[in-house]
Amino acid sequence: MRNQLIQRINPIILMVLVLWLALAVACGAPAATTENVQPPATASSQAPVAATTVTQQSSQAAASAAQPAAPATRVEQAATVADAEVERPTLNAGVIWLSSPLDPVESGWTANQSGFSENLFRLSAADLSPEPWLATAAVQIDPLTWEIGLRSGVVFHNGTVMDAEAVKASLERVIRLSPASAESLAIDSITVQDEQTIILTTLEPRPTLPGLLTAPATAITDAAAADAAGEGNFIDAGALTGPYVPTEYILEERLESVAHDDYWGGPPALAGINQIAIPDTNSRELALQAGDIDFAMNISPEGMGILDAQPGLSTQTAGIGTSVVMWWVNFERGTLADPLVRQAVAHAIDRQSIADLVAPAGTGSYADKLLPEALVTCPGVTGPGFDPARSRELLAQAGYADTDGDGFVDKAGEPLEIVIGGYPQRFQLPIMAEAAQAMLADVGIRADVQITEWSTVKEPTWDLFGWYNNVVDAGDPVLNVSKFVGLEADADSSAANNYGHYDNSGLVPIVAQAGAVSDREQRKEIACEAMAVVTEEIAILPVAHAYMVYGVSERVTGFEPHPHRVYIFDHRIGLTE
Amino acid sequence: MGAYLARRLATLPLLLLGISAVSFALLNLAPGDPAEIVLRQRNPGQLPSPTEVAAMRIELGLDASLPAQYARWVTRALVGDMGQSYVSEQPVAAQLARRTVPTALLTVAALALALLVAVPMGILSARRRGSAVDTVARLAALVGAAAPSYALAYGLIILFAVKLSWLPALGYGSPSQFVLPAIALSLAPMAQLMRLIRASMLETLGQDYIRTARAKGLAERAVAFRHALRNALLPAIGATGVNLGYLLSGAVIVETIFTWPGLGQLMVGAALTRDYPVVQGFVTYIAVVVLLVNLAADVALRIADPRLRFGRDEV
Repeated sequence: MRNQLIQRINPIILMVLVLWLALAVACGAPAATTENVQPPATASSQAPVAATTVTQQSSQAAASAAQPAAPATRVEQAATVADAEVERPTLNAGVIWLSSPLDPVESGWTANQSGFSENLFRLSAADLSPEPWLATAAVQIDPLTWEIGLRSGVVFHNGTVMDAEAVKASLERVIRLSPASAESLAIDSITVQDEQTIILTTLEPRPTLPGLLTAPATAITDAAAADAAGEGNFIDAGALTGPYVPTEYILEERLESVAHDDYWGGPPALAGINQIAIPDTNSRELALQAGDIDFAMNISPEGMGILDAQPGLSTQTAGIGTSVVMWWVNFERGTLADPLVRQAVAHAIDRQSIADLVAPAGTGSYADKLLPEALVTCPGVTGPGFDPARSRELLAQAGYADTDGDGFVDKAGEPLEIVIGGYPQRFQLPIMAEAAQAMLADVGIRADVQITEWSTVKEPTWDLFGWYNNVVDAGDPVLNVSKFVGLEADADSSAANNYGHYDNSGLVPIVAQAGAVSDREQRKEIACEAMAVVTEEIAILPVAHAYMVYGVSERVTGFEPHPHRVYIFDHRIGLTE
Repeated sequence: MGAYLARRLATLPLLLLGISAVSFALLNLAPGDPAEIVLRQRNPGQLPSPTEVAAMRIELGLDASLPAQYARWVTRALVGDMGQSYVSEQPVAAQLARRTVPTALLTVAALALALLVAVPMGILSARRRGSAVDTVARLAALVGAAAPSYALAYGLIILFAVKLSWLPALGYGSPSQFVLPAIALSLAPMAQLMRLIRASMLETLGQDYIRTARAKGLAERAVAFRHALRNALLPAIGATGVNLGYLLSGAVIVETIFTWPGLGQLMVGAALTRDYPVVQGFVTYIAVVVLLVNLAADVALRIADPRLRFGRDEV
């Protein structure tokens, strides 16, 4: 009996397997794409801003595309929305991670890039200068006073109108709940002048206040609603103003949203956006290839070629690097504190070739200097070029020679060894370290590669440490060159981190000049003066400026990649059936 | 059996305390300041200021000594409170509970698939030793055991999702989304179990009592299934328990590749972000599961094999 039973089990097992597979295939076969249409990639934004006045005219890119040519009445809009409701599709997008809280004062990056939150100002796509967003203009009345005009017709997701009182309450909430923002903005008082105008006074001159107000943490929030919702219920508050309204957020899994049809720029083209956290780059790219998603961020250089070659898919980038891939140079360990050795190391490394490896054409560009040219060009400033012969000369001048014939130089019996650190989460850093190791060996410098965790940068265990960082904060060149050497933008105090323990005393008088300067061109000159010192003393070794590369299917319409990753989804992005 | 069970259960708390203490110490020995990592995670690409880092260290309770931090963790864990995630600020226990169902479904599906294929194939391979079926099965088992799960996972996605468009490349919720992760996860244990069952079956078929059964004139099929199979499957029971541990660890990679919202994906994200409470909670939780499953496998083995019961407990 048992024998017969077992004999019957095998065919049953096979049948179950076949049925399961057939059912699964029937339930989930995604449609294949057959055409290859390159979505148009157009540049946005244009004119530079006046030094002390940031006006809407100077930044039509953000506003003009957002504003319908002839604003429809609310009833007409509602009808349009109702008609379109049936047809508007939802975009499935693959992002790297979804771990930031949505309340701007707790971070703000995810809310900004998702199209949930908006600031008074944003960075222009053309030159990364601040331009009005929820503001219409900013006028600096005196070094401590700014008048900011506000856009009318803006409503929060909960239906409350955004007026001057609401903006005042929002900024007061930022100051109350975000110490770093409070320190950066140095706001003394906020006065409501009329429904659409506020006056900000600062404790110290803040010539780049519009730029500082581009920080995601300062996004305009319905403060009363956010506070009333309580911790963990921010979504329920409907306290943001962007074209999409978050509906469900499962951290590190997915973030779903629907269109905000009362959006001041007109109803969004999509019914909503479902963001899926796909941390693995290969999986993200394969999901796009399989048609599971129509949009993927952070495409790898290898993936870029594959996606561009596949019919129906393409990659898009703004072609401006807003993140720098670089090495911190450690001045504290002794080895590289010697300027001759530091120069020898810098000349031994072919940074251009390494940039070609880690940021090949289309995904980034060689960074001779710290700041990208979109932010500032400093024609007279040139970094140390690749020159192995010069490197050997410098080593000899520093007293190093290969006395034991092992191919590596030494001095007084002590070999010259440096440690190249980095962290694995940014794929560029291990590649950079290994390439540099081989190049340094060519001139007789022994290098040990130690890829660990990024916060190892705070420990005295390395000589060069690979780093990936945003380098366009507030759109201000002085602020961005200063923060990498541990100074505030006015050199008034120390800021951020000076991981290389570089002696920044020589930079203090240079950066201090910027304390009350609001003219952008003058600030660029000051930044170049500072960059000349930083470059000359090899305080930092930049390698590449990395672009944000997006993969999109041909169904995606109206997507204009912005250089900065904080601006991804807006009301124009759509999807064809 | 009762004494055996009590003895095994009594050792569990000590084992768990040891595992949690070691993992807590190792996590804190690893380089990296969680306060800075949390700030970088919340504000990608930004340099946190020293003020922010100091405030975050206090907020996360990292200003206390390591023994004090561990004592606090144990005290809370005893009442089911495994702390809060540094990154999401959600209770760790709730996160583990929510992620358990997807991982359990995937693991059970993979284990079931492994057994469904391995048992009949192992038996068939042993009964037809040296035949073409045996050769193909052994070769497939070799490939399945040798190929890393990430390579299999990517291969399955490229073939079935990208090239053939039969199945989705990722996600969780529909039956179709089960297929590729379950196959990717099941291949290694399937191969191992098949080889084990084949070897065990061959060994059993060479025993004296099998020769006796044949001498009695029983048909070969009856000899194999009625007399040999039960003994041949005994090693597979133990191996299944061990394999469950493998499946849970293998799920870490498979879940990451298929964006499966289970414990493995949670663990990878937490490890990369130095989210100590989540990693600590995960290690302890998995330790409990593996210890209990191994205990269950041992009990099942004792029920199935009287020699083990009478060989020890009754003495």
